[in-house]
Amino acid sequence: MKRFLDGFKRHVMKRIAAARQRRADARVMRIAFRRNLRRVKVGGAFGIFFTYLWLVVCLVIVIVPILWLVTAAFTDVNVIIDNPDGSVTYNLTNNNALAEVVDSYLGADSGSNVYGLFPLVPDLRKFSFSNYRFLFTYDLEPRFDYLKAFLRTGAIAILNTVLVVLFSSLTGFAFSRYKFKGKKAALLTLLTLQMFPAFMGMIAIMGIYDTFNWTNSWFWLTFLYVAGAIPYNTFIVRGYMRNVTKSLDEAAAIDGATNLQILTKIIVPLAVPIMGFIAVNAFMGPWLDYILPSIIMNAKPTVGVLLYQYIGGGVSSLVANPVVFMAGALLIAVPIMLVQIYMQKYIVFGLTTGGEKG
Amino acid sequence: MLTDADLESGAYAGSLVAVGDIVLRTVTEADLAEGGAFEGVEVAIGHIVRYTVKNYDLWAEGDYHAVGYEIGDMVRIVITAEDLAAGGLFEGSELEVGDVGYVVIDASNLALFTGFLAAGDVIDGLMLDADSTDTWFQVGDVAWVEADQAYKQLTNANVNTAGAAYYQTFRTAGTIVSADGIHPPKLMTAQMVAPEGIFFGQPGISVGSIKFIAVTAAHLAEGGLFEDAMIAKGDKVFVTIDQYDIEPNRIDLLIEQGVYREVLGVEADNLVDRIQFFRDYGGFFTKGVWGLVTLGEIPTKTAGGDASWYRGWPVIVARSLNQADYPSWVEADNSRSLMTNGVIVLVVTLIIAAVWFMNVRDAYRSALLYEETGRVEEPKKYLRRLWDENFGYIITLPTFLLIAFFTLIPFLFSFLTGFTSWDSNVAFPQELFDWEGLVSFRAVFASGSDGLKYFGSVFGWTITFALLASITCYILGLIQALIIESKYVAFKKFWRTVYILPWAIPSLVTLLMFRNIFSSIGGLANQVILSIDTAAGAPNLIVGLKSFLYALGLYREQVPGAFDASYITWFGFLNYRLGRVLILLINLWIGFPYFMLLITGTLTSIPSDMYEAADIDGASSFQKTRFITIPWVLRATTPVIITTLTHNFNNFGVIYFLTGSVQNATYTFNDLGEMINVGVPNSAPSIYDILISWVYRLAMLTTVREFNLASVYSIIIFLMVGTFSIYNLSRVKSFWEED
Repeated sequence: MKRFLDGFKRHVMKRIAAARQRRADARVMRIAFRRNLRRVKVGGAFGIFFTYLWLVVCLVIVIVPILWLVTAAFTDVNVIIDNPDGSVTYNLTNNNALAEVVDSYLGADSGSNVYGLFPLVPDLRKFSFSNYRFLFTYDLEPRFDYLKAFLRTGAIAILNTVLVVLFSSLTGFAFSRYKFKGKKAALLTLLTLQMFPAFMGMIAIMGIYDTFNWTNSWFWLTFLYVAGAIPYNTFIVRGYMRNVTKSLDEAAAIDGATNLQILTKIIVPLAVPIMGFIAVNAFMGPWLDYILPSIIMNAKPTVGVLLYQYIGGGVSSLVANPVVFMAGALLIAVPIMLVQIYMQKYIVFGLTTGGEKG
Repeated sequence: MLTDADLESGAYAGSLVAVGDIVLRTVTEADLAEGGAFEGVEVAIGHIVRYTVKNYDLWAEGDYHAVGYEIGDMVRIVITAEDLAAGGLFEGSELEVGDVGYVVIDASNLALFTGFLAAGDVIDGLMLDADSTDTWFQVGDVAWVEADQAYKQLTNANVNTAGAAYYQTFRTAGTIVSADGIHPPKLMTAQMVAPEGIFFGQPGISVGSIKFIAVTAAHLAEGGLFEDAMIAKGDKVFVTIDQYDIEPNRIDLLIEQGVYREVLGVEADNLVDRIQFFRDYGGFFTKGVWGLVTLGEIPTKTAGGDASWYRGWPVIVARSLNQADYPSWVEADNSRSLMTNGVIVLVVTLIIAAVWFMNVRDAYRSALLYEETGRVEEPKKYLRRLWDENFGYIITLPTFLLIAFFTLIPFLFSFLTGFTSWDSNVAFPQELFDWEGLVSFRAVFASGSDGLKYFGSVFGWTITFALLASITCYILGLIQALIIESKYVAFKKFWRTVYILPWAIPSLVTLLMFRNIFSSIGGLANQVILSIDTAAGAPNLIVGLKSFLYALGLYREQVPGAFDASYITWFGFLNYRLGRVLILLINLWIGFPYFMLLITGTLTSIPSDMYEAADIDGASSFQKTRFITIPWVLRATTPVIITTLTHNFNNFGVIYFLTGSVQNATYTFNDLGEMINVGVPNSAPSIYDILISWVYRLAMLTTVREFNLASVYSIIIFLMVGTFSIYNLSRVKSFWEED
């Protein structure tokens, strides 16, 4: 108990010290920045102006499409209608949905000149959650159950993460540490197998999954993702491991550690950053993947396949509603986006480490 | 009674019987002999009896091949409202729409029975025989539509519009609904059953019809159809027919007696030669090898279109429950399964061989050890040594197995497909395909062939796209990274976060969003331009835009002088240059943050003493950027550039999700070598296709299905990209260092 309290106190002190350090750094940066600004001459002022102009223009170009996406997701296009007697009607096919959104975006039917002058400002009066209500309550066809698809894809993502991290770490570790016959050949094979267009293998995979009756099973679909992700991630782990000196291994071996102990007690704690990077990528992969699940999971779709139905892709051509697609896609995209932004540090770290030394 | 004249040129010409129909037949001597249709039945030669047409009667050797309906035949039909109306076949009867009724053909109604599928027939559906209490009518159901006075497939207008006839109504009996829950029932149109239509010449829709037979002694005997039934010989009963209602034992008997040869034309002598030993009696491994080598020998139908027989049994597609008596080798061969299983067998055999080899080697070593020292290693020590020495192998084993099964086997399968004849001509799974060797390769590379021209232009665009896409993203990413890092910019984190957004949002979403933005009608881009013009009152903006784009060489849909206020087709055929530029720009929008991030990270790793040295030498900031920053960044990110080039070479998503649905962008070459629009989706590439999206089109579009061609191009892509990557990797020395 005492040990726990000591550890906890040490941890808290470390955090406080780190925060203090960050604040000091920020203060230094602010001072340096202001000093630089004061030293700017006239020629430099133009430079600053154009720099900021460029930044703002790029900002607009980046934001406008995203704004449109968000607007479309929250625009009511009569996809779900409440009947006076309490039941609901689902209006699945609405090929005009997009035009309606654009009209709303442009304020076309608001009748007000103001909106006509600013064509890119969305009409906030049409804001509604109806698309999301539709997504989560439409249950006339079991294939379109959004919640189930969401959970299914989540299960795939979690299993994918666990397996990819496990296998690529082990393999990357083996490739970086052990000499064995056929190592170069194995590396080359891993590399080149990736180059073959993946969907040519789809036909074979269709056949194999049919034979073993693995279609519509999210569990067996995950193995395909894992097999696809392993080569690239193995290289990343290998590149990272080469920077971890071998002398650690040797020291541990002298002290009598077995192979397994070296692996679990020394290597794994050191490899946590790179494993984190791999985990993030592996988790985000399956969510909006379309091509692979569309072949295998027809009756029990993942989120990507489900959403693609709404643009008329896939089996049922009776459904065409791009706005619902955008709403559903946004729902998935937001967490992925947040993860990407938050994990910037790790992503850059992973890319530079894995990328530099091959 | 019908005369010859009536059948040849009258109202009954051209009608044919179907399975299950009951026809009038004059008994002959052959019918009464052993094996005849009326063996044992108490009829005499010359009698006219009712006989139920069976499946094999309709085949080329059967008695009723291409025989027409005659007066007196009895046909089973599903009653429609037409039949119950005045003048219909069942006018005034107590039956209802959807009931099963029997019509005896007479002079007045023979014209109705052509024996083939007719317009209005429904397939792939189930007819509800009772009102439903919990399911409303759905779009896609087939029901009676008053307005059209016909059975039609219901649409949104009938079902989802308030006040429509089928709006929120429970389904009634007689509605035809989807049989599999996925595909709506198919209503035949006149076009489909016309001589050029897809269902021309397919009889036998009346499976499930009732047959009307006279009971024979054989039926009542043990094992017969009516064993233990309380009927007597000579009674006439109804028996439900199924498609394979043949008594197999009779066929064997007939073969022995030599009757089979005469009745059905199969050479009884050759039966032994036709036995494929490994196919019929091989286990998974032996049959797998056989399958891989031959790719199937027994198809469902022979080349002439007739049903095929094998060893005296009719070849069936898949055994169902009531065919449990059939031996397993009666199922037709499925080339795809055979190739898949063959490849699996190959890989598994290799693994087993490797394990076996290690086994033998280990035994050899143990024997040597025993000879030298007289002792054998203890099991515990042995296992421990095995574990320690081969730890590297052991932890890679799961990965290896996973890759072997989920990557290697599909790869081998696709690779081998290029050497087969599996293309759109093979009606898989009824027909088999076979090994062809390099025929497809020769077709692709034959000089002057269309294949080579397509390949040339698609390949050219692929290389251009790969280079331009990578370079533009890199340059913009570099610029953004440098600008944000400059000391004049505040809120660095904010700018970086905002600029990451295009990359952070999954590309599927953004690509489809851009496709919507740039769609011709109702797309945001066109609407914005047009609305600005509408607000201003004159179509200045759009005309100006069109002339500007025309001057750049990108826009060709209209010519100067004819520019009007119609929308711009961003991704069409005539404006393909505009579309291509747009693809590059969108790819730039999505791709630059990746490089921005990467280069920002690299910038932090540049040692600052170089900059200080430059300051001492009096370098300006521009010079510092040009001579220190950029070379350093370039060198550090070279591997990433190469990876990106490879990635963009195979960048399927950008091309497909932006332009894949543009159906009319496929092209072909006319005599002058210019590209002209084809329109119909076929094996020609679209003008926006890069190699890999063309391969996708060849393999996945249901109207195309040229698998072997797709495989050939995949192999080419694979060789090119693989060689390029390996070549570059081999130059990175650190890659091969054994540390």
